[in-house]
Amino acid sequence: MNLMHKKTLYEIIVILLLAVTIGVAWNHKLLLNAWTGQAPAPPPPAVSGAPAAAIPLPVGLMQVKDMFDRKEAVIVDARDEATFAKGHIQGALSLPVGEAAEKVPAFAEKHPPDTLLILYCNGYGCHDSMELGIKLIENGFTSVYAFEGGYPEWKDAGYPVEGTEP
Amino acid sequence: MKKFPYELIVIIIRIALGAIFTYAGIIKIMDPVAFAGSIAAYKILPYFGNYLAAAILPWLEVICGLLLMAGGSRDHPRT
Repeated sequence: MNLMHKKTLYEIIVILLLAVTIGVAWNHKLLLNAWTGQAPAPPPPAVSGAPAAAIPLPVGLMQVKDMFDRKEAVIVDARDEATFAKGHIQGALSLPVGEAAEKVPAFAEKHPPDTLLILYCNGYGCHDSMELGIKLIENGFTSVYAFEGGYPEWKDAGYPVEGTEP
Repeated sequence: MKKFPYELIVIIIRIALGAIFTYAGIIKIMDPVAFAGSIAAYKILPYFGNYLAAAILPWLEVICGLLLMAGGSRDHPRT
């Protein structure tokens, strides 16, 4: 390898290392959360007394499974009813984002505002759970989380599902 | 006839490209979770990899953009 190539390689490495260092340092909290989201025994997100966020906070698969096992959370499916009927996370409630205007008030009557809610839809490309979460927060719910991996990630992990063709 | 200003054109393109890189990087740095979601949609990385890529790539973009704007490479030195 001649000297020019060596110098270019050296420059590439310096730039990459710089990006990795700044990127990891800048996002260390997010990365830590993402990492613990997958850790075997993650602490569940702080529930009581957490300040009400304007948008649902993201929550990872393992945290959802943890809260599912402990029955701490109400899991809400933001997809339409037909999709819900085909397959959904075991015990999830259907609250389609398209019908949120009609159904959220009734939902709010049945569940106190500090209920821990986990919303999901069809995974990362799907924003229904975020949209529904914003509406629920507007209706006074204080602990609203969005499981961004959604039904696909849950099903792929082999966790309990139910429905006509789960 | 006046010489075609290649050097000037190279500088303009270089700065424009660098600015686009920097801008694209900054908007991703502002919202790394959304970017992680976009990466995850491709389903090529494991769960944590999406976040790691979302944390690092925008900074790589900004650094490269700034360096491109600053110029100073051997082939196209600062003029």
